[in-house]
Amino acid sequence: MAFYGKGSEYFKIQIVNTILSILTLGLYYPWAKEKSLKYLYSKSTFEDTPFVFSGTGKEMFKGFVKALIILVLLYGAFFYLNMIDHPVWGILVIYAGVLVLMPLSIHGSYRYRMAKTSWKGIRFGYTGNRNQLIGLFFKGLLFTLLTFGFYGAWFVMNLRRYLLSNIKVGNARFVYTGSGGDYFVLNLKGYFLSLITLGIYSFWWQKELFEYFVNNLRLEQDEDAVFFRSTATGGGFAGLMIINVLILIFTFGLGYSWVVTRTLNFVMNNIEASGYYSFESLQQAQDDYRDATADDMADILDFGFVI
Amino acid sequence: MEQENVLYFDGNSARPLQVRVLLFNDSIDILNGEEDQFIQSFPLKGATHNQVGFTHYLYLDSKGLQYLQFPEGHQLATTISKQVADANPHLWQKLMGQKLVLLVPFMLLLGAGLYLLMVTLVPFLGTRIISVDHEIKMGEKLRQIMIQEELALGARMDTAGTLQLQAFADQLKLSKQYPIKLTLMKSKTVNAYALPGGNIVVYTGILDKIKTPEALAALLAHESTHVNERHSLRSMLRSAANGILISVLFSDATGISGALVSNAEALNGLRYSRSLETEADEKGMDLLVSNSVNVDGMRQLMKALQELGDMPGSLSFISTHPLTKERIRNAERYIKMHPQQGTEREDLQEIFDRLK
Repeated sequence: MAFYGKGSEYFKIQIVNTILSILTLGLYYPWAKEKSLKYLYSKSTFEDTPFVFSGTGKEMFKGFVKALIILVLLYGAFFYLNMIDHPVWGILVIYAGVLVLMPLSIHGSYRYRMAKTSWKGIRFGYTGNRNQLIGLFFKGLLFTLLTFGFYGAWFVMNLRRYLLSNIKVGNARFVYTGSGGDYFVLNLKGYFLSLITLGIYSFWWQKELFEYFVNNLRLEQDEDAVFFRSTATGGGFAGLMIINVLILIFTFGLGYSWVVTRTLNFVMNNIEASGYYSFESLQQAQDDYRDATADDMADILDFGFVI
Repeated sequence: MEQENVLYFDGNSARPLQVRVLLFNDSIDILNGEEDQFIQSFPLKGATHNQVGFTHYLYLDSKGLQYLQFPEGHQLATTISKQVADANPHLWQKLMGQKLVLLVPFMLLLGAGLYLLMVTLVPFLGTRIISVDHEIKMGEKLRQIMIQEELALGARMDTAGTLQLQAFADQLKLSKQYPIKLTLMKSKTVNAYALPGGNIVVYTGILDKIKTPEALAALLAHESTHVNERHSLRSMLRSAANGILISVLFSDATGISGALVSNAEALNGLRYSRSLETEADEKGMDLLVSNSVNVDGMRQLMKALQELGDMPGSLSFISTHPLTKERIRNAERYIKMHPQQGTEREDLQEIFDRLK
């Protein structure tokens, strides 16, 4: 994979987006998101072919309004319960509401983003089941709480395996094979070695996490498969992250665009694909999906596009 | 114009067709390369262009599923990319065509303009939308919370003193709209504060420093002005405006909900800007005049506070306020400009003596 975006181009997009956001008192936000994503996708390539993001500001605006209405209702219930002197219920409603919204947002966000992503004219798709994801989420959350966080590694891996293994490109499907046990050991080792080396090892920890993500991913169709491999090094991560921080500090945050493009450049250029598969046999098979409510909800609740 | 060796992806399979492309009448016709058969025609309007390295891509439908791939150095590619840009004249495209040297100052100028608009408009509208009744209810809730918090921290309420202080305030007309309710807390802290809707909390610490009924009246008049002018509501709205502004500037959806949260902070902090404090002093003195209380009380109050000097710690009444020297000067100027007659309020003296 490769990324051809330039910080200066992305910076200009951000500036124009900001101008229009100011002029529209922030209502431009969904269109700004469209422009940014379209740029980043169009400069990311796999097998020398760029990706396409076809989500529109209009869809995301509708989604944003719906997401806001849901949150306003939730806050409304909270304030109402407070007014009639049931503050405990109010807090419960808020927490329960946000907790339920999390798996719902992940599910819907995946459906939207994947349906709006295409490559060589072939749409991606997310075919996970909503109720299964909710079950997985709450089971994981409960066990993580009961085991004082130890189950977290299994929680994250179960979620990732479910999400990624339900991503399709046309008639081909992704498979993720990471497991909680391996992930736990990886993090335990990373944590203690980082402590011992006063944080220096954290870059190599990061490298291993990335590797664990990429190397356990493959794309399958019938008997054929494409395998992914990370070529990132700990030194590479150190250079990337240290310079990113320096850029942010010395430009007072204005250099954020360069941080984004540098990071994407590093990530994409360190993913290699190999295997026996002719991409020309990909066929259109996934449906379109236009509801961006969950994607916007994930933005508002600030847990981004989680994988 | 027509060219060969263009790849056409039809949005059904990832296997491209070799096609010939014909460009006229603001549309692109696609013909099969071998048999010269017409496949489909697309309008330039609605098409989008992308260039990666030297390869050009022309997306023909809004979903980006059907597209043409022009090989490196293809003559038609640049022509088409220009025509596509002309056929889709969006404001965004126009702005993207400008130089950064122009865009950045333009953005800063707009940002500054929006800032000024927000910090005046939001408080203006907010104070009109939120009714006085609602504010009184909110203030009462807030009082309960804050008193509970202080009781938990070890302070105690001075019940007898509260009654006397209330009687003192009742002799004065401090507010037309709000019921002024006083609470006296036993604490060494030299402070008093007003909550939205008419509640005023006074600490015995500040009461000990006050030697005359006029100075006490001045303190109450100052705090009542915060209430009357809805200063806490205004500060809250101002910080909300700032929060919204930041979320607009950074296209950050979380900022909006963040603004809601930080408002609660503003209410708790109850710190006003200098200009609001100066206003509270001035209109407070107006209140003294209308109540026939000697305005010198304000000067006495300031003097009493000034004597505390730079003592560290529990001096919050002073620390968030404008320089005491400046306030004394303002009070003196005010007294000169407003000569008073008949300012002996024996009723106040009487209650004050009992309070002491």
